[in-house]
Amino acid sequence: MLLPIASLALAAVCLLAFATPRQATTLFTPPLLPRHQSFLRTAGFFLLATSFLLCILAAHAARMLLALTGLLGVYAVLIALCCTAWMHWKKTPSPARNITRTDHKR
Amino acid sequence: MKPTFRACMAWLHTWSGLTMGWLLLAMTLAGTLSVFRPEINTWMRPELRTPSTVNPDMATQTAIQWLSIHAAKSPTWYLEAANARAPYVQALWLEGDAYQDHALDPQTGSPSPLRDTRGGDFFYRFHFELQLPYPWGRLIAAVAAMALVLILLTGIIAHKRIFLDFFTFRPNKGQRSWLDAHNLLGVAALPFHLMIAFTGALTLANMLMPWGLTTLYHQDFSALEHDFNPAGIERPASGKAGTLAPIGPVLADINHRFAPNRLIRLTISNPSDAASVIQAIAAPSASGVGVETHTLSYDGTTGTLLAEHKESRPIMGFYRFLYGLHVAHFAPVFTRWLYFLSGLGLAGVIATGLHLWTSKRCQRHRGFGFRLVERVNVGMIAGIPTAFACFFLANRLLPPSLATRAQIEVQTVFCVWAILLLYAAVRPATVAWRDLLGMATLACLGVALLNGLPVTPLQIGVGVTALSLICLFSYATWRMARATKEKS
Repeated sequence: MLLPIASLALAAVCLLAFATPRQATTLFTPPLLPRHQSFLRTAGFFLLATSFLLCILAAHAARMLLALTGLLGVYAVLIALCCTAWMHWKKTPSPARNITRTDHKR
Repeated sequence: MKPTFRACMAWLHTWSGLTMGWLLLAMTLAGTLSVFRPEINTWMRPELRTPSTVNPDMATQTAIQWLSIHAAKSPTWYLEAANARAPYVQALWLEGDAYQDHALDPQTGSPSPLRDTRGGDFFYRFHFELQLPYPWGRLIAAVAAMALVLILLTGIIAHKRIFLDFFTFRPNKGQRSWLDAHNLLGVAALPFHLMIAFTGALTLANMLMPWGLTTLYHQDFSALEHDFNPAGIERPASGKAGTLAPIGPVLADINHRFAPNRLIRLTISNPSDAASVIQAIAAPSASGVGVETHTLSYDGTTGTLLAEHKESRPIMGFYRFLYGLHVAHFAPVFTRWLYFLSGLGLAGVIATGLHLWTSKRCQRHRGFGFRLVERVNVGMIAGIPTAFACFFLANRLLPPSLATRAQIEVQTVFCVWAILLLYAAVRPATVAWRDLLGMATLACLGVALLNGLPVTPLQIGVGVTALSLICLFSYATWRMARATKEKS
């Protein structure tokens, strides 16, 4: 039961991260439109609510809720680091791409 | 201009965080390690080569046989039953004026085959007693726990853009990066931080507010104990010699009554007296979160049941639920790791907060206060993990038969910690950061090497944790070395 809930929670945190105003403007080119952000946020909160609901309906509800809460924290940190890495990658093109660009100029 | 409410909260957050931060960091790291207390206990006793499927009843019986011969005069034996996480019986008894706390071999019941160590119990006790005599350690820990609740609440109020900055970490931007890390670690696991701070404060609340209990019970702590645990029977020694009833049938009855839960703790009072009492406490239920909800008391000489209590009082159930949340005895492996990671996150919040205080002020006039905080920060943030890692090293490097080796292990922690604090005080801060983080890397490397080839789940857990810390500390050392080079 934990695996589907964990997957739902991961999807929810990803959607919520993409829908955060700062991430929506910095991660995507062109930036996500406000209505897209709003749609993603709604979907994220819906998945989050579903995962909490599934925990409540599970056999060991209290334990599942605790595990889900802890997991959400870990996901949030990991996704924040992934966003940072993505931004770093976007800002610093790889040497291979640099070479191609230089060749192209010539 | 009158300061705003948020500014007042930010001020309170900063200064309460600074004054309590170092203590909270030590308590948090010790508490985080004590999530794996039984596993650390087992790791620190490499002589335990028994299969993990130790029969807990057999282990308890052999332990009681050994204690009947070697600690018959002790007024009480406190036994923690063997289980899959800790395949031995942990026994505490009074010998002369001193308490003896030993792990008893599950095959022989004797402590001699196993090295003398405090193991994970050191971290557990240090977490709330701070290695100080009663009541000072607990009192200070209680104040720190209350302060943590305050720091978290004021931090939430002071943090203006919680949702906007939720997934934000901007590296290589100096003070901004430290603030991002502080906010990210704080906000991502905020429910855990609030829960652990509140339940921690609650478990020690009677240290700060003892008046309710003293008014109600008038110093009669046996009445308090009886209300707390109605099945607990206190019988003074009769003075007549007595023999314990065969423990096998008693354990069978305990298992039958506790099913599907299992026995976790056995207390035998006046074991060689005619008025002996055997008290058994059940482990948390397979689905619940709370602790110790079922107690049995038996007559020690006849083995007949004297009292049984299943906790059904709502307020006690609520208290035990909150206490259970804090100690996580209920937690399966996955949840234990989440507790561990969230605990490390809390330690990270405190460490980044402390560092933030100095990085905010480093451009201004550097007075004595600044230099003091800067140096103590180095000694604490890099020193505590190194000292704790040295506890693991001392456990494996000291000869197993060394007298008072358990004490020497503990002394090693405080000696290393003191030396590192002193080193941080006399060296320039950037140099001290680089050197102490390097020492932390080496200490973790030592733990990883002494752990041996990761074959068992325990060794894999220790190995993965040590390697993760090596990566973290070596990266931090490299960054500090670069900063030192740039400065010079």
